Amino acid sequence: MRHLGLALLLTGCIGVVTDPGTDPDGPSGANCDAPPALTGESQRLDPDELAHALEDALGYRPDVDGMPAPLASHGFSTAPSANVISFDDTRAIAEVADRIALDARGRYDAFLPCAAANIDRACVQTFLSTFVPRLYRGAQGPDDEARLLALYDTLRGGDDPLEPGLALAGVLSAALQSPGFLYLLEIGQPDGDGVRRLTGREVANRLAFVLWDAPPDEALLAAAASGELDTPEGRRAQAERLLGSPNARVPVTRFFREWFGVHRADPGDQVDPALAQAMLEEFTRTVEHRVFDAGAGGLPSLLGGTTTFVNRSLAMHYGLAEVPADDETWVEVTLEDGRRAGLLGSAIVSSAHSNISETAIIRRGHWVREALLCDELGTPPPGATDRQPASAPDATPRERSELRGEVSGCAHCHTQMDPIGLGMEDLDPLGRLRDTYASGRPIDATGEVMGVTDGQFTGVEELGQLLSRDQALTQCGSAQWFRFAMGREVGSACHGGWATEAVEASGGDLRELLLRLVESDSFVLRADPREG
Amino acid sequence: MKLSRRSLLRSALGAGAAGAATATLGLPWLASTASAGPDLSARRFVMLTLGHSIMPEAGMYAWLPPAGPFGTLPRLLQPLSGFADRMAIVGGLDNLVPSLVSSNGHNASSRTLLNCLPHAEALNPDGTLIAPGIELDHTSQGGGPSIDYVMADALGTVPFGLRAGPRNGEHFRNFRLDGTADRGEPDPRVAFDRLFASTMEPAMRTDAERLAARRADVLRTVEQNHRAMSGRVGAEDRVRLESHANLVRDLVDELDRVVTITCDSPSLNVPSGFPSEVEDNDARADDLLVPTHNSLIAAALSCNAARVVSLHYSAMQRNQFPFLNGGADMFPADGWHAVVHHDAGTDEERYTAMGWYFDMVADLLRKLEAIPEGDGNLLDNTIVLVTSSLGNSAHSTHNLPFLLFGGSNSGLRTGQTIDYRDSTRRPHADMWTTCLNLMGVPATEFGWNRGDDRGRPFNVGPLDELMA
Repeated sequence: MRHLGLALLLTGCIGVVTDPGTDPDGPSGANCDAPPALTGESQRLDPDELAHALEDALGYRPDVDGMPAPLASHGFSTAPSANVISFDDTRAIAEVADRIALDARGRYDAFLPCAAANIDRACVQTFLSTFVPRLYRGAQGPDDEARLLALYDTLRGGDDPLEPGLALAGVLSAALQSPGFLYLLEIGQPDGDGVRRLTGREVANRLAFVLWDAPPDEALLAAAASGELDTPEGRRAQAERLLGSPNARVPVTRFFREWFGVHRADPGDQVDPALAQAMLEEFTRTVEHRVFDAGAGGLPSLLGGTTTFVNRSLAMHYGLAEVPADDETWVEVTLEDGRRAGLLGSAIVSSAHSNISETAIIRRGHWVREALLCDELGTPPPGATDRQPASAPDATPRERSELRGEVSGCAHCHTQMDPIGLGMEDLDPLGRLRDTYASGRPIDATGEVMGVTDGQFTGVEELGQLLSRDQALTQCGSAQWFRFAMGREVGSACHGGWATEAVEASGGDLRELLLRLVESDSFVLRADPREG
Repeated sequence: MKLSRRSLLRSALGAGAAGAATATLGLPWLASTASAGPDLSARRFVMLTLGHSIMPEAGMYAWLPPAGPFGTLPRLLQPLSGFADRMAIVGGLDNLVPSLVSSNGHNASSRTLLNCLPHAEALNPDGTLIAPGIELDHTSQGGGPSIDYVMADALGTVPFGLRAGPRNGEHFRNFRLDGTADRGEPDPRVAFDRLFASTMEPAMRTDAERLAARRADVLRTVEQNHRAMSGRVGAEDRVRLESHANLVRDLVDELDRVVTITCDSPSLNVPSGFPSEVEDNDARADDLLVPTHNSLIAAALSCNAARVVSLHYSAMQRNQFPFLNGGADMFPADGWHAVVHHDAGTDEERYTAMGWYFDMVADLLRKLEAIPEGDGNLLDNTIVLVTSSLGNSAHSTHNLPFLLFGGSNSGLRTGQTIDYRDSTRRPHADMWTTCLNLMGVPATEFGWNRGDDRGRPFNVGPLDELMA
């Protein structure tokens, strides 16, 4: 039971958090002797990833502004639910694809096998034979090039026949709207009963998009071709190489932005856009610094430490004594107040889990519980807000929480959320320290993480320490990394077991955690997609 | 680029026939079949929605005059005084649907306003509620289509959606037939091209427009690519790619839809100073944007490019109204959200800012009235409905504001306030049922029709008192 650490003590509102490795009635009832193959759910690439893929296929990086980003109602942007495309998205993709294709016309000479002035059908056909496999990253089907060539012929005809260069732009636009480009497709090869194994190229694709937000480079493609990626050691070696590159900073910081929910924050509605931008950048800079620059460290290092990075807007926002000359100048500073530390003390995290003009103790508590402790609380019952007892206009959140505690059916869940949020009340909705509410009433920022021994705390600095005890944060963080990197729920009991093993093997070291995943069978095996 | 081409079009056409201070339209006179009786086929529907309550004074409904024929209009409605005989105001309509879901004050009020349904994630496949409930948030899909989509679908057309302001997930309210959000087009220039592309001579088109004109061909190949790939992937991915392919097919269908534009050379005059980027507009140029939207709405209705139109004022957080304040921000410290919720600002400031929205309503009415149609004008054949997702500044969805405008052929009983607070309060779904009937779509209910909210039904029926 050691590996479950603190999480075992926590009970959710909709069930009890159990040992995922041994519970025979686990969520999937899975037999852990079977290979841990993941369901075949490809993820839609985000705009940055698409831009990198285009750069790889065209030789320059086009502007993909307007391309709809995956956004799940809950969880990570890589989750299958984030793949949902709307009608508006479909139209937006068509419009952005047209724009990119029209812009590419000015660069035809750089990537076409013929001169831009001499484009003809044969030239287009030759171009497609290399362009489509590159753009689709090996996922092209037998007729993909032929269909695009047929479109070229169609566009050359009609009432308003397009000249060759413009017709080719139409072909490019179609390719950019196609699934081989938009999705990270994993088809695999049969590998025993009910299981498919990713091809070397598909493993290379996943490695590169997880660790670089980009398609594979030549070295990774060579490793795929040589069979090196078929072994855990081979994958690890390549993953270490990728992690050592500055390119890895983008997806790794993206993981933390999504884990901490700040990608949903929109403080630009409330503060100057320059400050809103600075708030997000502070978070990113802090993560980069602690994960990549400050040497080996575990996840708890992200919740501790009183240094952060500010520019002029942010220093003024925090009320610091020393203010950089402008917003382009970022300096590392030490917060002297003794109340804020790590990512929980950053303005953008406060903003992400607050309402627009006031803090939200329930939201903050719910988020800490679900995101940082992986304790599933579920959603409130219908009409929950109607059951909040009336209170005085200047009632404090603590007083309103106490009233909730007296209502039958509310207390069970709210005692798990409210006391956490109450302990974060000395940070306002934009992450500024405060001692009183607008009503003038004093703030009492004492809180408690229920179900935890010695769970009392005051303020986010102490909360961070509490969450870091007994590897609770590390355990949850490794499960979150699995969800993000693989674009799936931990779901199966066996994958949950992987997270536990990874924590033990890595000793909590963040970089090692990232690497353990690529060695696992989960990384390369999928449930047979032919079924169903 | 685009802008200059439009300028060329405009100068080729000469000055527009219908005009307002900042925008002019060149529209030919539209022959109408209007006769003595009501002509349902000529009726159009325009819906303007605001994100917050429209209550400048704490504790008072400044938009709701006493029941009965209008006397002197309240101060807030003064911009509309010239349209009093074309106006009907309805009080006592409550949106009861938020009682079914858990959410914050804006997500639930917005996402149920126009479809009267819980969000998609809260519903079982058979349409019943999932217990104990899935929280509605700013990414939730609609549980079904909004009134504009339902109405347009019944009329054999598609609605035309605009918005003024940023894409704010908390305030999404228009939902397509499949429940996905229609966030509205923010840029009237883009919307104009979309509506009227078919009227452009090929020789006048830019390369981008020529390629866009072939979009259906391109999309047919895209659809084939999705279908071909879906045959090669696993079960879960197959569902995903097929549904993506279906949306591409829907887009082709929309492009292929035959719309007979009844104007020869419609144009849209964009005022100088118009922002080059509208998507991220911070609402500081709304004094230019909204009148242009209004001109476009008038053109779309008049030229038969659209029959059901929705305009969502989506900028509801940081609006600063510098155009009402000599160029300086009105609420530099707090923004509009705090002002409208009474955390900040004065009643006088609320009057000034909220009054602007009614100025904009009057601007649209004037533009509709200026376009001749049959023996009268376009406004005679149009129902313009103004509402908000909130009834007061404390996120109540009861007593939602409803202001309706129309003319002789609108089917509305105008010149009066109907206040259901005086008798039996009604669910606001009844308003949408009424509008469907006014547009010639027989309906007895709209949206959620199971159970009740603490004894109150979610539907009663059309508001007879509002119909002539």
